[in-house]
Amino acid sequence: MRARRHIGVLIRHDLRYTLSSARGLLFLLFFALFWSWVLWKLAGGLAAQLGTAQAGFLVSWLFDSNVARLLQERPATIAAYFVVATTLTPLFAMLASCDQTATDLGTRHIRFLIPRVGRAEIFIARLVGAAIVMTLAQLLAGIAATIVALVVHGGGETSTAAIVGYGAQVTGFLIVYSLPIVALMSLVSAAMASVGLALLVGLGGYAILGVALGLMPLKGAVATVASFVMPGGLKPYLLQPELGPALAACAGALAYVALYAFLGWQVFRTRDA
Amino acid sequence: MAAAPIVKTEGLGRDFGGTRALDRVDLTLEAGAPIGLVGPNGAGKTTFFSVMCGFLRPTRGTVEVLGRPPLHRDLHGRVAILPQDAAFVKGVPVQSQLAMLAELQGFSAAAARAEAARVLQLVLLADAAKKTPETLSHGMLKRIAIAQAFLGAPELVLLDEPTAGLDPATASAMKNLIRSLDKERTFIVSSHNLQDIEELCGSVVILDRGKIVEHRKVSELVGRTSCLTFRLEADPPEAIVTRLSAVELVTRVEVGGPGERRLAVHFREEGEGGANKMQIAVLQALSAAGVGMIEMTRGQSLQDKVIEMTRPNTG
Repeated sequence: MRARRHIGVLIRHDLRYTLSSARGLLFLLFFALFWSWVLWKLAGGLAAQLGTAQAGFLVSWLFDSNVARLLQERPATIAAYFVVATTLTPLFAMLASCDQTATDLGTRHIRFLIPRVGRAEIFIARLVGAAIVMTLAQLLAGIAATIVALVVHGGGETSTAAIVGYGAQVTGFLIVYSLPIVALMSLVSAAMASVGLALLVGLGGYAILGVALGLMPLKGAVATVASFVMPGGLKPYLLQPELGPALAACAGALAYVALYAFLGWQVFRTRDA
Repeated sequence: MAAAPIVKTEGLGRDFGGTRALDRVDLTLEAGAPIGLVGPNGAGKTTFFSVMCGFLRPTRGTVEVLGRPPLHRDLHGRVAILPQDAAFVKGVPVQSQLAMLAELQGFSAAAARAEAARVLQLVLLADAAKKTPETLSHGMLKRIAIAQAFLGAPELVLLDEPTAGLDPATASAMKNLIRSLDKERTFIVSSHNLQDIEELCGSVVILDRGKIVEHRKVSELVGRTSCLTFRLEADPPEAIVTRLSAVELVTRVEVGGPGERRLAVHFREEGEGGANKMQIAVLQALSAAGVGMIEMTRGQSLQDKVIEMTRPNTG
């Protein structure tokens, strides 16, 4: 009971700080501007073009046939938003969650906290606080994408309910897909104890691993296992018109959350304050 | 049942790589008058303080605070700590930060705001409540950090260098604050400022090279009734030591290191006015040797005692 209260207090202050600090506002501003620009482009006819059979060849070549089908079978504006968002979610999630326990450890602010609360409560509060910020950002972007889709596709073949339903589904998937990155950053921030270093290591590690795996001539089971080293391996399953593989990817994302959060906790728990 | 010691360590050790910062520290501290923790640089003082606070984990041995491991859930709110180098969150008003810490100690949101205002008043910074840490001076931040250690009603307050970085007037105000509260709770004060320790503390723990070399009452350690200490205009010549050693009741004569210009005369207390007679004898010896005196104190200063006990070539 006391632990839950502690976590609540820490999250409340964490959110207030994030929403009032220069770093938090900068992230939200960057996130809002970027998605405004993307959605403006999509609303201008780009999404409709991507959803045509002719563009399908190019999309199939660039991504895969499932993505091309997704753009043709689902409301194209939201589907295109989904494709761009799954690619950029790791970046935004890292930007939003690179702090967590890094500032606590780096500035030794933690020394003011641990005489009053347990380390587990601090770790959980920072993780949940970062997840809430990311979720709120994804929610707002998802709502914006759905509104744009309603404007673009409204009165067409696709019903309003279908657009709103798919918008909610995509938003939900993106929220779940961002959580493993938030959990990964709990590990990196606890290990680095510096916001800048955590962001650098997170982004650099993610990019280097992605490039390295792409360059390695892996085949068969090894290639399959290697593709799941990072949560990016779930992306092809999320970007399918069918619900089944996407739901399986969401379940996989939660497994990543459990793994990364556990590792993050082990690092945070054993660190000197 | 007797109350648990406020701090108890057994075989406590902490290594940093190959360096042994603390070595088999066995110590029991009881509640009561403030306790000082002193020692020269590298003595292990900061390490011992950090292990006691739970900031560092021991490599060997055990440490208990109020009968529990440091930072145990049962100690939350009962033990307050002033860390030396912890920073407040930038961009958030200090009163909000103190209120959050008070909330974590169990205060309701409204009561926490009032408690934050109370402790800011204690450290004479009520007018800085709405300011953010980056707009405050080092001394003001130190006082805010002291304020957080007085949130609620902790039984034990651990203060690391409470007066470091404060101007003399503010340092004096902070010492008065500690003195005004030391009947209600036990303080453990770690400091390089031995004059502060001597003024504030009833007993002192002296660390040197990772070990405890002394744990005694300050009054016993400085020997106010059995020692006279003189600050001189020059280092005392050997002849004075020889002359004073021959004086009746003198048990030991100590001279400071080169350049310290210090002379301490220990003697047996026998009868009325022993100290006065001894004072006269020393002044005569100094006069005969042509060495001027700047100051005389009854007993040794804690600083002199600690320097003497932790001098590298001392036994």
